[in-house]
Amino acid sequence: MGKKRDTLGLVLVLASAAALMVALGMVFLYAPREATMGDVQRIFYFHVASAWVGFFAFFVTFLAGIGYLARGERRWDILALSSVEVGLTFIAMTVITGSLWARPVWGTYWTWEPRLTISAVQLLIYVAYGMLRASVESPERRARFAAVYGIVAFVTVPLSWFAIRWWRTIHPDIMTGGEGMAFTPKMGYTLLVSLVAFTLLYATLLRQRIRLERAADVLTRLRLRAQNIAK
Amino acid sequence: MSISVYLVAAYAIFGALTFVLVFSMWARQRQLQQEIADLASRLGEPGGAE
Repeated sequence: MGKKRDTLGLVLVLASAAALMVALGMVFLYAPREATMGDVQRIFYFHVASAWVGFFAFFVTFLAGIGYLARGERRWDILALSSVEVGLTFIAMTVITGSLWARPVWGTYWTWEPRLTISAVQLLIYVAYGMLRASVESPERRARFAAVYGIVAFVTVPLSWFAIRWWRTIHPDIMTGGEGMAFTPKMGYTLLVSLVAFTLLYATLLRQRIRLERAADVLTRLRLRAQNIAK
Repeated sequence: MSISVYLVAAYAIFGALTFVLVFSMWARQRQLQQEIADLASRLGEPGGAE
């Protein structure tokens, strides 16, 4: 592995890097300065894009969990695990950058309002996914438990999405144009490009993470063979 | 002034977390490839994970 030319991997890396550069350029040079919040509102573009990718990654884990339970194939387990790991990074980005946005806008880094609380709980739930996997010895049982856990844990995604509609919250709702935020078409295009860039980045990272897990499987098989020869 | 500090900090966090993830995957991949190559040569097999 690695010696073969990975054309698709290279294309994904270049495409996501280029898209991120364009998105950054639009965030700082194209999108207008928001009237109420000022420059700090520019955090919004990558904050929303990373939340989208985090949610999408957990949706992929949800689907992969169903795929594993239906087929019992290792590739579904690898997809679920890889997507959780990448998704966790993006949700961590969302929570941290949200706090940095909140400080000048709300006057505090953190408040226990519904969206933020659910995001924090979601982060911990998916960290526990990794702990669950580490605690089960048998590969089949580990994959089965993780699949069920990944399916159940996905409930945090619609909960987080609807939290700002179901409960009183100070978190802005971008689907309604952002309460307290003057949303212009240029801001919309910038957000769209950021979403595309982050989705490409997710695809790139997910692919690499899957390759890593496959390599780990090859190593496990080689170790088993070496043990059998030694016996 | 402090507002631009938050903006810079937020984008630095995006960059730093992406770097950490990419670097950790790269380091693990390198280590795995090395171990696979070592074991494969000991077992007299052509090394390859794909």
